Amino acid sequence: MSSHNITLVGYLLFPALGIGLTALAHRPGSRVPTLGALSTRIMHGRTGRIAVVAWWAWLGLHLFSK
Amino acid sequence: MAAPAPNARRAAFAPSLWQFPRRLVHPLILTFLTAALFSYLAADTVRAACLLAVGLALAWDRARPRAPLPSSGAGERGRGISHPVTGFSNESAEQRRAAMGRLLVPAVIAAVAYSSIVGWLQRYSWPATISVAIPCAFAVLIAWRVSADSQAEPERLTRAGIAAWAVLVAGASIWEVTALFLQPALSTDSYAHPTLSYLANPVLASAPGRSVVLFLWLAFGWHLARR
Repeated sequence: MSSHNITLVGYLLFPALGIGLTALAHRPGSRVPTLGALSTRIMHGRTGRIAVVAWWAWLGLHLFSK
Repeated sequence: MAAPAPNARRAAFAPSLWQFPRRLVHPLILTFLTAALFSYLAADTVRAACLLAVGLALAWDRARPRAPLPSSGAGERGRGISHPVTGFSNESAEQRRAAMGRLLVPAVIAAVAYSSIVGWLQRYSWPATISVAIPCAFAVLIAWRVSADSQAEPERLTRAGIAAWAVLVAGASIWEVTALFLQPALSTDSYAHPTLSYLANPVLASAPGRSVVLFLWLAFGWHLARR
């Protein structure tokens, strides 16, 4: 398997694990929070809210700006 | 709320300065400083400066003394300074979501128009840079402003649950950074070790692709603003 394909498998693996965690989170009595609950918790305070929005801004700038 | 008197501001400066290095030790702030370092190493000086500025501004904001509001719940205390946990009450969050719900149709129309126009601009050009930087600056300013005076006890999540997501995000970040460092140079793309940006290039090469990605980016921002 080429290094290109190994890298791609890694990129696919993490979203797959994320889907697995989400499935776990939706089970009754699960200790794992959903991604929505986690992002709400992170964005509850000023530091987290601005950090998440700044990360979103960075993403747009990274893809399109100089 | 009235602005603090100049003397009060001066008096608050020294404790803030004392607190500042300690307030740098926060997972989100350290993430920004690390990202700034990697951007700098990748010769991306402007974005490195922006990331560094956001990280330092967040640390300074956490270091600033704040008077606790009467409705304040739990908060951090130390050296006679109160640091209330800023957050959003269910009521204010519901109000914000209701307002955003009313604005949904005009926002979608504006986002479609914006994505269609900006998508036709050359990637990495100054017009594209300015066009993308405007909503970014607007969003960060709004986030800063909206979170200034809201306080509520955040929902408690289990450490194990948070750790599971943190490991996943850290693993994905390490995978991406590893691919970045395995390139011939940090600013040179590699087919053998593709980064996510490299993989996105075919989509972003065409104007319709850029328009779709811009629209999804705005929609994601809207989703975040509703949290």
